[in-house]
Amino acid sequence: MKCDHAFDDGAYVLGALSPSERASFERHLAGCAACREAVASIAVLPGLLGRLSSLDADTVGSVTAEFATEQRIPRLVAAVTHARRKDRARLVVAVVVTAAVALFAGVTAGAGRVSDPPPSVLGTVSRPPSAPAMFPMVAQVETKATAELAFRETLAGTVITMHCAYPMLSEYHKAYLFRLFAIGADGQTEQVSSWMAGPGEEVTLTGTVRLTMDDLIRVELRNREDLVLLAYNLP
Amino acid sequence: VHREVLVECFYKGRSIAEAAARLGIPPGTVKSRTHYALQSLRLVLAEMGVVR
Repeated sequence: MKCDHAFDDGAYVLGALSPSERASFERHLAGCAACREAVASIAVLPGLLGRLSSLDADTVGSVTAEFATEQRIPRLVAAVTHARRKDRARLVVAVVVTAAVALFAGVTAGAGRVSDPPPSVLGTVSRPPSAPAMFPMVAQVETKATAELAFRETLAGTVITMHCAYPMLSEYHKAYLFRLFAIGADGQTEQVSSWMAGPGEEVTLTGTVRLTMDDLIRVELRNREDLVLLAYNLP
Repeated sequence: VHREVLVECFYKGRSIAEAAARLGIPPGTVKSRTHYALQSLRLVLAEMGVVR
């Protein structure tokens, strides 16, 4: 496959080509069987790599969550992954994790080694292996921080577990203050926790608010200036 | 070397141009590395019988 576009396949399935490059490559694909074949052979990989995040959010969480919100994977990949049967997909995921561990062992971009997760920097509670479903918080302003929440109702109120990640940035190294608030149906606001975190750090913490799950309508992650960075509305 | 382009382009969702600027390498090199990175991942998976 000796053509000018022979190397574009990888960037294409990763969604990393600029709109004009992508349009140009797609026009080329129409007339180049070798490139079509190359794209088809790797099209499934981003979908599989993306599933790593849901399986092992602690190790690749921050960066994949950031990626997922951008939804840059071309429709092609979505089509291919959706076409796969679910039971097969599950097997594929299990194996791709193993393969990716082999390939990515020693990855340094703040993700840590998959087989050897770094100790939580500021974590007060480590996530149990069978963690309950976590709900991603939605960015309210442009922010690099990502967070997910889990809720558990007790007699005392609602236990909120939050996992927050702040990706490694070359521009800053300072730690910033963050605060988590729970907001009730009648507008009452309770602070759940506050913590300091800087680039490349992940925090898991748990707090209890007296609001019941029924009373709780929204959880907000705010910065020092009380600006809401991330929020989650309870269904 | 192949890992870092995948990390930049996939996990951080950067474009080829952004990744090239961050890594200090030409955009064409980012493209060829994403090409080889995915090809080698595909080969690993093919050996394990996961993909064709």
